[in-house]
Amino acid sequence: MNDQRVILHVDLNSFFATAEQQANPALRNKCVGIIKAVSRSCLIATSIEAKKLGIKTGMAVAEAKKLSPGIILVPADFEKYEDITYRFIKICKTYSPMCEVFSLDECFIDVTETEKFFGGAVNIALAIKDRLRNEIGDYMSCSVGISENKLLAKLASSKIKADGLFVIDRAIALDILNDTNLMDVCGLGWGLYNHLMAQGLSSFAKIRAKSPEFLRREFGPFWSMHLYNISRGIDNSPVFSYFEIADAKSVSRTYTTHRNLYRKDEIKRLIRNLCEEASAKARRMGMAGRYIGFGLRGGPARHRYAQAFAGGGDSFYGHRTLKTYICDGKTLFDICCNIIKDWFGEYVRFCGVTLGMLTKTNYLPTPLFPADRRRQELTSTIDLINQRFGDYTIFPCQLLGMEIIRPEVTGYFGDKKYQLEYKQD
Amino acid sequence: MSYETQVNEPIKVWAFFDNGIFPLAISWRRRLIKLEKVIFSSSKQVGQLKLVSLVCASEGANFELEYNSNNYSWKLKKVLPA
Repeated sequence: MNDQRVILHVDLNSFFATAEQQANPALRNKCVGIIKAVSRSCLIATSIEAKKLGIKTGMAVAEAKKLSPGIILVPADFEKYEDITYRFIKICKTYSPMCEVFSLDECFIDVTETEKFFGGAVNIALAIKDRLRNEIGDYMSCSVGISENKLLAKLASSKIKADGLFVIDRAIALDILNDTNLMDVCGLGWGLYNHLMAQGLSSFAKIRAKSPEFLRREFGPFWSMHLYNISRGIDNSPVFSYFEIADAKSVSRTYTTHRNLYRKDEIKRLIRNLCEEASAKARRMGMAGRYIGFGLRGGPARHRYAQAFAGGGDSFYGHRTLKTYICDGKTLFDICCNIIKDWFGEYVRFCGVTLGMLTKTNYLPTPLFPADRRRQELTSTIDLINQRFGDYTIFPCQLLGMEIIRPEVTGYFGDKKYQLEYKQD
Repeated sequence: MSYETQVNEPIKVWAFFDNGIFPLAISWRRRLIKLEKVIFSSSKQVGQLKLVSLVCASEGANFELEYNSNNYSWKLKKVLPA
């Protein structure tokens, strides 16, 4: 691989469930399902043993119990997973500064320039596996894929689960792709898959056999290029180092409730909580935004601006673009309350608040009026207290008496910039 | 079968600090329990307070301990079957 890049894709196996099995040996070698919290009805992760029985992530608990009546349901502990992720990243980045955190349990490492210091890519993969067991826990395992680009490295790591190591070099790349299901490749979604199947293109070999003109005609300029490349195992995208993550363009907080919320005050409290979450995150990043997006899912809705979210259901989305930048929870909440006037649904099951078009607060002028300045100082003081003593040490009285929704890491690590740079201060 | 028992009680711990925390024994409900090894450790931050969670194995059971680095106190969070 001298003239090629050498990229490793490291994927922690059944991450949430394995972390729980590491922390509690009584769960090892058992069918374990992770749920968001007690009484939740959806599995957000499953153990290797559960996967063998056909229990998948996203499955309803009732459905999983039909397949395995003895399934052990464990509420998720995101702080634990977050801590393991930071330690996992710390291990990965010792082998190359070009380490891209892809999600909570996945990393790409470009070791083209550094593999010679560690005796080659395979030795690095074995060392990562060893260190994972020694430094995090003996039950933790990972699958490592090695190849010349990110597409093939990710495909390689998925070839042998769990605790696998697979190398795809140029000579076998096309054979491997020919035997791979279209949906097993990263970057191919259901929409594109259905379109391909409608055209009778059920394998990468069949896509490769089609001319670029045909692909362009059927799939448009962007997707034709994408399909042309992935069917040949071509991926020139660079590995973005963990310290090169671009500034966030928006911050958001979404929440799915465990029961339908019918009462207006309950709904407003949830919105206020999410506004506080999104705005606190923006302030911590030193950002302020002027686009406010607000979404609800529930039903049955009779609203003016219905826009279907993925997954369907009665959904509502509204937004406002302001002339001035904001970063405090109260203002954000007031704007959301203004947007919600257009919603006439009966109950709420999901809510999301977005603060977009972000800019650095350092670039913004100091408030002109004393009242605004006082408010800004008050917000800064509250932030300092909360950073010193923990989130929601001081919180709006509107949230009194409710179980406050607190910051938590997402599986996709969508807020990488925040998680890796600001939370690690 | 229960896979954990929540306790959440302050306890006395004899521990060894050397590039990590290694609890040696705990005194809980007038019993001295010798700990054999640390199975898992993780830490979390509550504001500036750092809490370290350690799952330690003993002969009959596993214990999840929490160390508060602010006031050097220990809590027994959970008892887990061996």
